[in-house]
Amino acid sequence: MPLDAMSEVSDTGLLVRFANGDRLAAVVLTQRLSPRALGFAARMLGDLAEAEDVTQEAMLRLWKIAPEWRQGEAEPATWLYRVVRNLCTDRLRKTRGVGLDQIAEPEDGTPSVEASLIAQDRAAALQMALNQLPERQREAVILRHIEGLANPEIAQIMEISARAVESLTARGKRALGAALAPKREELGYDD
Amino acid sequence: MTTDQNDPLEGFFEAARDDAPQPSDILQARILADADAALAANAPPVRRRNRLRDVLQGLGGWPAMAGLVTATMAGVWIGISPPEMVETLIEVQTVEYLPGFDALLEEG
Repeated sequence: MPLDAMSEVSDTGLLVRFANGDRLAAVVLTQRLSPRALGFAARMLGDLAEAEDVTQEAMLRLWKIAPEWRQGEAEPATWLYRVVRNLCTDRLRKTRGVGLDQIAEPEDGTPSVEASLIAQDRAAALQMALNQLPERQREAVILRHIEGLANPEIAQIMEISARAVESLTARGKRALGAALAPKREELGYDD
Repeated sequence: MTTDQNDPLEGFFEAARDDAPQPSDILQARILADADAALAANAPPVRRRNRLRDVLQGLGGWPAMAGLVTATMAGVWIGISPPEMVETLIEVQTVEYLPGFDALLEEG
């Protein structure tokens, strides 16, 4: 099957094809799923190199489980997010001794007039605030508001109820709002 | 995805979404190398050619082989110890089909 035609195949279908020896299916799955895994891991860990290692490890586990994949149980993307979450949790536990002062600060100084720089500063400020959230609140906020997942899917990934997801998201956003409020003016917000 | 423009944090989330890291070519190559290794590990082992099995398959497999062995054994048994009916049959055939054979031999 050519690469273009593969774009119509579901993630589960691609995984079954891969299990049957189709390498092209692995290429398409990598293009589809690795950006999502990397984005989530990078926001969770605040470190791109570590996020890349986590992404590779999570994808490796996907390749290994492919022959035993049971259709209808979970979406491969949901399963992958769950693996990324667990790998990030393991890494965060190992580095829990690292103090906040060791986490890179967003660039300080005169606020840039360039919109792109402001956007970068906003992203960096958000990352700084995310790093200070309790782990589960951080996971819920990233999955809901940055990865754009619905609460039921987040509930599957975090293995909690959808209600608990709502609660974690709400608390996380309150904490983020408080942390980012002093920066709103310098980051281009007028109100 | 749906976004709430009245959410005071939405501008930050939007910036984060736009700033999402993309997998580098090197990372994708690492991931696909793992996929290749997994494919190789999952591939069924290459089976050595077995001539006996090939012959057996040519004859129709084990069920056909069982029938063949039974027929062979029956043939051997009849050859060693022919039942009376078979001996009678042979005699009858000799008598009926070659009635003047002995006479011909004598005439020489």
